Amino acid sequence: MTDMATVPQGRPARGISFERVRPFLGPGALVAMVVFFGSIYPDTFLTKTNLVENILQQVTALAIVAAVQTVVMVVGEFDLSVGGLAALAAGFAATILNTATIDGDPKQPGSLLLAVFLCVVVGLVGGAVCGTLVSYLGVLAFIATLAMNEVFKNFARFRVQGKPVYGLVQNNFVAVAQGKTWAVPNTIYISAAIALVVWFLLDRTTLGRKMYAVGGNIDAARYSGINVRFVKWAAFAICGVGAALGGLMQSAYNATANTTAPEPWMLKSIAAVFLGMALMRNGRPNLPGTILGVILFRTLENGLNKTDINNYVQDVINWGAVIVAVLPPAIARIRENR
Amino acid sequence: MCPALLPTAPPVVAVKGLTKRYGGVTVLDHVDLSVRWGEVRALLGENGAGKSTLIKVLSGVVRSDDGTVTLNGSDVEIHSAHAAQDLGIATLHQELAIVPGLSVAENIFLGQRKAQTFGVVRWGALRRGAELLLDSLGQSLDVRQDASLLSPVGKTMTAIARALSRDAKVLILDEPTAALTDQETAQLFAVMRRLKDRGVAIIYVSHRLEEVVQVCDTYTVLRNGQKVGEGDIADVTIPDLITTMAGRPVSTIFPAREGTHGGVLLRAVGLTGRRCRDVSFELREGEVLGIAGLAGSGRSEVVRLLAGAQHRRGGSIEVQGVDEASRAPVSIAGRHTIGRAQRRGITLVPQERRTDGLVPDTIERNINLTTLGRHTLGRVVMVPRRAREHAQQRHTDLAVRSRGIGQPVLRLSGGNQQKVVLAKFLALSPRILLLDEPTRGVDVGTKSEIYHLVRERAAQGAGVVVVSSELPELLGLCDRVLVMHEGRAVGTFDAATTTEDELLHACYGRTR
Repeated sequence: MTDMATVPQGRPARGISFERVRPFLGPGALVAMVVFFGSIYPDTFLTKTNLVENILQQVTALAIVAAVQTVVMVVGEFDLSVGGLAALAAGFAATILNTATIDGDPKQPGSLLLAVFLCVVVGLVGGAVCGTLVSYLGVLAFIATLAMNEVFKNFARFRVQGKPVYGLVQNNFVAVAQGKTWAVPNTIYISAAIALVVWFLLDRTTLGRKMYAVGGNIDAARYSGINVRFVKWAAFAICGVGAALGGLMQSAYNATANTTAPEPWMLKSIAAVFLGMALMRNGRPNLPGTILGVILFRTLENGLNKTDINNYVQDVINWGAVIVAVLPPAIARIRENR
Repeated sequence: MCPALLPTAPPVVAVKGLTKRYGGVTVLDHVDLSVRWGEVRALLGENGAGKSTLIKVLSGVVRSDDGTVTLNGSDVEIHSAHAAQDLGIATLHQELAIVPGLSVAENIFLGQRKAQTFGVVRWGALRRGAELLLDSLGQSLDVRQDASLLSPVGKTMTAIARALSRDAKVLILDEPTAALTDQETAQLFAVMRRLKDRGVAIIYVSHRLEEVVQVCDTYTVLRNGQKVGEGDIADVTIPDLITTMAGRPVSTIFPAREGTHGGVLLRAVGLTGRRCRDVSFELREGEVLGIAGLAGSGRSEVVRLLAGAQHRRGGSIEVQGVDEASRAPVSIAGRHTIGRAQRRGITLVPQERRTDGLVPDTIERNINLTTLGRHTLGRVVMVPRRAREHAQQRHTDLAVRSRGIGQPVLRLSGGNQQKVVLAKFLALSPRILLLDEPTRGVDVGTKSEIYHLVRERAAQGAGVVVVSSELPELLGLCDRVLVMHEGRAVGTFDAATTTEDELLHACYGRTR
C-alpha cells in the first residue's frame, strides 16, 4: 500500500501569504500605534501613567468580560447579557458592602466574603439561565441573551432603586482594587490571572477541546460522544461568572456600583473577540487574540483622545478600524475558495 | 447503445495543457480532455486525482494557471460560474443547488429573466416553460411543488432541466447517482440518452464503474493530476480501469472472510423508532453483518438506534460484556446517548463525514476527539505530547496520506478524510462497530483498505454492522446481509450464496 497515489509533497507556498504574516499583524499594529502616538505626543501619551493607568488599567474589567465572551464564542454562540449580569451581580454585592442603605440611613457593612460569594452565585445562576435557554430549550442566543440582558439590568436597577451605590470603602474592598503592587495596579494582576485561567481552560483542558469541537461542528462533536448541550451550557455559565467578576472589580475600583458602567461591555467584548479571531489562529476565537484585541482597541481610543479630533469622529475612526482589521481575513477566506 | 459518433467531428469542448497549482502543490498537470457532440465521457480517478479541480475550472469556480479551453472551436476564458453558464457549460454537483421553499418551476428558471414582464413574473408562462422542459426529458413532475420535497432523482431532473433552459451544450455530472436507488439511476440514464441524441456533450464523474461502462462512450483517467489513460469504454474492462486509476493491479478488493464466529455480542429485539419498526437480529463476535435497503427504508435508522443517535420508542437491546466480570448480557435501559453507547462498547461511524464526522481543525484534533480523557492528567488537563503521539500512531496505522497531523483535515481528499474519521472512532476499540456508508465517495484503493480494516476488527473479536447502498460491497464484505424494506427487516441472506439480484428484489419488498 505504500506505492499508492501519494499526496504531492509540494514546496512551501511562494511569496508572502496572508497566513504567514497574520501572527505579526496584531503586535505590529500595537507597536505602530504606540510609536505613532508616542512620537506626536511624547509628553502625554508616552508616559508610564498613560500607558499603564489610562490604557491597561482602564480595560481590566472589559478584559475579564471579553475573556469569558471568548468562551461562549468558541462554542459558536454569543452572550449579549454580560453587561446586565455584571450590573446585577455587582449591585447585589454592593448592597451588602455599603455603609448606608439605599434610602440613606447609616448601616453596618456586611461580610466581604459573603458579598463576593453572592456575586459569583448571581453570575453563575444568570449564566446558567442563559445557557439553559439557548442550549436545552433551543432559543436563539440573540434573542435569549438580549432579553436576559434587559431582565438582569432592570432587576439590578430595581434592587438599587436606580441609584448608584456609593460608600463601598471598607473591608479592603476598594483598597485592593485601587492599590498597586510593584507599581502596577492590582486590577491588572487580577485580570491577567483570570485571563490565564480562561486560556488554560480553552487550550489545555478536555472541556476546552470539546468547546472548540462543538463550535466547529456540533454534529461531529455529538457523534464523537461529546455531551454537546452540557458543553454549551457550561460556556454560558462560565461567562456568567466572569461577567459578575468583571462587574465586581469595576465597582470596587470606582468604589461605586453603577448599573450603567458595564453597558458598553456587551458590544466591546464581542468586537474584541472578533479582532482576536482576525489576528490569530485562522479565524477561531482564542484568548490571546481577544486580549490583544481589547488592548489594541483601547490604545487607539486613548491615542485619538489626545488629538483634537471631534469626539464623535474619534468613535467613527475606532469602529472603522475594527472593520479594517476584520476585512483582510474575510477577503482571504473568499479568495481561498476560488 | 453506441450512437453514431463522428470521430472526425470537432469536439464541443476541448481542454489543452490545463494546469492548476495550489500553493506549491500541482493538482492538475497539463491535462488534455475533449468531448464531442453527443458523447458521454467518463472522467475517472481516485480521490485527489484532480477530477474535482478540472470540473471547477470548467464550471468557472477556480481559474487555471495554464492551458486553454476551447468551445466549439474557439478559445474561451471562463472567469466565473456565471461566465460558464453563459458559455453553455452546466455542472450538476453532488449536492444539488436546489433552493428550498421555491417551486420546481422557479428552481428551473432560477436567476433567469424568463417569463417576466418588467420584473413581474408571469407564473403561467413560467410553469408551462418548466413543464415543456421536463416533458422533453420524459419526466412529469408537478412543477408547482416545493423542490426541496422532491425525491433525489426529482431534484436531479430539476437541475438538468435548469441546464437545458440555459441551453447547455456541455453537461458535467459529478457523482449524480450517489443518492439514487438503482431504479432512479436507470431513470437518469434514460434521460442521459435523450440528451445525447440532442447532441449534448456529457462529462460523467463517478466512482461506480459498473455504471460507467453502462452509460459512457469514452473515458479519461487522471492520477495525481496527470492524464494516465483514455480511450473507448468498449475496449476496456472494469479491472483495467481500476488498475489504471490506482496505478497498480487491485487483485483483491475484498479481504477473505474469516470462518469462526464467537458468541452473541448483541441481541436486538423489536427495535422501533422513526422509520424503523420491530427489527430483530443478533450479532456475533467476529461477524460482519450487512444492512441493505433502499434510501428511506430505515437501514441507517437501525444502527442509529443502536448507537444512541436516535430515540428508541420500543424494543430491547442486549449487549454482551458491558459488565466485564460476569460476561452476562446487559439490557440497555434508560437514556441511551451516543456517549453512553460508546462507553458500552458500541460505536457508530456516521454517514456524512463532512457534516457529522469532522470538525474544521487539524487532523490531530479530529483523531483525538473521542479519546480526550486519555491524554490527560486527572482526566481534565490535556498533555499535548501524549495527544500528539496518540494521533500520530493512529494516523500511521490507517496510512492517512497527508503532510502531517497538523494539517487542516478539510484540505485532505475524501478518502483520507474518511480514514481520519475511522481513526477517530476505531481509537475507542469498540466491541460493536457500526458503519453507515463507510465508503461513500471514496476511491477504489481506499475502499479496499477500509474493507481490510473492517475484517481486521472482526478477526480481533468485534462485531461489525455495515450499512450500505452498494450491494456488491455488502455481498463482498459481509457474512450475512439483513434487508430492510419500509422500516421492517424482511429477510437475512448469507452473503456467500446470495446474488445481487436476489438482494435487490428483497430491497423492493419482493420475494422469489
